[in-house]
Amino acid sequence: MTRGRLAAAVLVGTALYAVAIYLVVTADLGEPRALITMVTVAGLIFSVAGTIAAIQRPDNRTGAQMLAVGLLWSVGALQLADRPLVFTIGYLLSNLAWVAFAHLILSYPGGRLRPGDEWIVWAVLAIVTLGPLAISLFDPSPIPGCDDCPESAFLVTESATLARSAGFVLGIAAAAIATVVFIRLIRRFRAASPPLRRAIGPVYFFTLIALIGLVTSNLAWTFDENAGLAIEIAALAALALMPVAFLAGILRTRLQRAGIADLVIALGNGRPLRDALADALGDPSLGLAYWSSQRQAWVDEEGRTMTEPIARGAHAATFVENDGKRVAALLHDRSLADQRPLVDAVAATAGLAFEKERLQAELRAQYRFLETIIDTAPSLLSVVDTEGRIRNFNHAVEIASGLQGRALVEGRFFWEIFIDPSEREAMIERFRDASPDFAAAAYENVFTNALGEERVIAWQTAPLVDQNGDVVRIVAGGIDITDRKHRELELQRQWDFATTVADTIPSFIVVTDHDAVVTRQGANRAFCDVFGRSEEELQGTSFLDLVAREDEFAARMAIAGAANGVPQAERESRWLTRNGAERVVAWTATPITDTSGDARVLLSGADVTDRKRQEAEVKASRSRIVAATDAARRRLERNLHDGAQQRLAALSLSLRLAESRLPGEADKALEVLAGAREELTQALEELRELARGLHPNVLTDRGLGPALESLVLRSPIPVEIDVPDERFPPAIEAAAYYVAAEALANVAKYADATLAEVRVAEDDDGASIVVEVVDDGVGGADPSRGSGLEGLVDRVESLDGTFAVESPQGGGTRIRATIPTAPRVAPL
Amino acid sequence: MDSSPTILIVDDHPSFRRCARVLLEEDGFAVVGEAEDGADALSAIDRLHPDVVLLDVQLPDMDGFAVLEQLDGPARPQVVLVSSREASDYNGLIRSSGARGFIAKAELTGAAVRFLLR
Repeated sequence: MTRGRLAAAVLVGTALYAVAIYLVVTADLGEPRALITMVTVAGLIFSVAGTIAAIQRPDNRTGAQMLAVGLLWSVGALQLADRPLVFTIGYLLSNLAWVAFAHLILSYPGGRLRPGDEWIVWAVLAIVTLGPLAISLFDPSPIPGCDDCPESAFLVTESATLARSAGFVLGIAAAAIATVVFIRLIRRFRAASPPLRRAIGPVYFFTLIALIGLVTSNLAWTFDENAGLAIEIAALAALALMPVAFLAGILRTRLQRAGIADLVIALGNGRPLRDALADALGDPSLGLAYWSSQRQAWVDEEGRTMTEPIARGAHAATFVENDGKRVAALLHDRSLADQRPLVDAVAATAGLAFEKERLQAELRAQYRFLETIIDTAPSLLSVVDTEGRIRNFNHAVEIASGLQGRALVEGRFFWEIFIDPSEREAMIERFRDASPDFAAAAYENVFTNALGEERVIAWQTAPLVDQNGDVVRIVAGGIDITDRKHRELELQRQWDFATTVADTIPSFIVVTDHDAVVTRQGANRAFCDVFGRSEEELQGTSFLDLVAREDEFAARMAIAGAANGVPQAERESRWLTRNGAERVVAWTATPITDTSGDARVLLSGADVTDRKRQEAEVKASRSRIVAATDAARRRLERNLHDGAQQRLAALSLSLRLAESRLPGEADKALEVLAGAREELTQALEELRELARGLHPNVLTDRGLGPALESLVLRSPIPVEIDVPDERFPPAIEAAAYYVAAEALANVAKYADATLAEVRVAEDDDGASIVVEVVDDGVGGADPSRGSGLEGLVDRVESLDGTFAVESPQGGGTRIRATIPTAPRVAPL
Repeated sequence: MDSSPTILIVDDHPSFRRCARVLLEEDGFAVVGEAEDGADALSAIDRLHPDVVLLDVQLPDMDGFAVLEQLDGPARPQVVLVSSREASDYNGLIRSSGARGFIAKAELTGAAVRFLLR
């Protein structure tokens, strides 16, 4: 309500009441004077109280509504006028104040009608206008008991029955609407929060009394005028007191400000902040919230994190600010929302206390956080007093102890719970010995807990001292390492197994780091035995010191390669025994991870010294056999050539001479001689073939090229030949020649070929020659089926060569022999 | 070469040299000397300047082809190779050696030599 309107209303009211008071004072009244005076005074009180409320709480409509009630009330004074018309109008309008009153009481204390309440106000308007109008139509003296009052100006016909009926209907309607209002107020009161109840309680109380009074008085009037009057006076008295109640409710903010002084005193006395604030605000449901800068969230007094919005339901939040930041919040009844000055004043008064409480809440939050961590930590944490009794502990202690429930652990001696009976005495003695310093200690113990489980705990203890330096508590932290112990045991078993295996196999095993330094895993027994070194002396030394100098570089590279995660192919190196003897070892280097998780290189090898020697011996003997065979064949061929062949050739010539010296004589003799020469020629031919098969003399004298050229000349199928001119060692030439000879013999016998090709060439690096015989025949040659190729394999392999036959069915045959021409370097 | 061509017989077998000398002389050759190895043959050729050399392929110190390689100059004689082996055993070598031809020992006649020298 603006000040202008208020001033106008006051002016109008003053005028109205001036008239009213004039009428009351000057009127010639009988008994109703008292009643009407009271009504006027009550209206005046409403007006004055309304004005005060409107001035004090301009934001609240309640004051204006009270003023409206008071002003409308004054109209009732017109009933005191002598003139019938004025009197009748006064009578008809005297009850309009009830409309304003209905509005006032239903909208209190907010000042606005709630939806659903409007019809009540309209109903009241209908009742208070239509009812008196009906009465005034039939009753010449509508105000009961007022004999001096003028007659109704609107009287149609005088009918006591109709008038009484109208009065009765009016009474019933008034009672009905009053009952509706009554029920609503009761409900509202019951639903109201305590602070709200304090505001509306007195108002509702007086309203109810007034309503009951007025309704019953209306009915009472109908039967007994005196009783009606008495009840109405009582109701009016209640009505007169009502503005005070309204005013008190509206202005309770001001009244409660007095409580702030009490708040200061209460806080000074150390009363809990929330309780003191709840008292000061009259809101027992008050809650507090603090901003935790650490958590960036609101926490309650217990330090629990709150979810936004922090004010819910019947509560509204008023924030306490410090340096422009919200540091705390009052969570109060919504009815206090219209009392912001009070709430603000209370909040400001408690500002310092808030800061303290806020810090405490934050501390509590931290404590709660720590408590959560400690209780969810897998480590055991317990606090023991100097007698050895457990005073505090976390959940992990309960689990490890096998005792479910704090009460079963708290206050007991720790050795009753964590030490097996057999060791308990010794532990108690140790504990007593540690007194009074209880110096920090660490130990492991194994015990059987209440559930019969064996647990292994690694403990660490530290003393807690007071300000005098005396030990008051011992904090013991433990880790349940049962599973770890089991795993360690399991690992140990695996390790033992692996070690036994490693120590019983005949192969060598050495473990080194990436620099080839032998690690603590060392070497296995086979290695130590064969190389005459102990595991202890090997550890920390370089494995490369045990490798022959010529092989050292390759060994270093292999170990470095394996250390970089590259598995190494098997190689052969000479490893040195303690007395300098060499052993040939075929070995590999493999990247591994040892039990500590470190990258290591596993060297595993087998002693192939004896095998190598045997292999060399076999090869040498094979070579010797081949060479001896070759020599024998050469010798035989030479003997045949130099002996029998020469003699037979000479014999042939002698026979020819003899023929020439038998001129024309003895035809028979000539015939015989010719026959003998023919025989001789045959014998010579056969001898030549025999000698050539044994060993081609031209190979020895002229080398591979001429020998192969003369060989292909005798081939029944065309043969292309490509052979270098240079000479090779006899064994190599012989091997190459016999490969070609045997292959061509096979081509002639089996291949059904139209063309063959003999190629001899040095390979790319000049270290060997490759003999290749290819034909376009039927293929399908199988060297294992006695085709004469087996002897060639011996020949070629005795020279460290390789021999291969490729002969798909229908795809021709390719025979390829690779024969080293230079002595091979022994492979590493 | 109408009358008796001079010929040197080179062979390490005395029995063959003897037979060959008789056979060739009967067929009208003048056997001017004999040699039993390559070196002997070369010095005899140098000394005797024969028209023809009957040269065994297989000699103790060097073979007939090696002897042929060392024969050069204007006075080079014509050479007929002989061997107890077959010509096919030496195929390409005979063709490229510069010799007039080859006769298996058992086939040797003066007519055969003359045929090659023709």
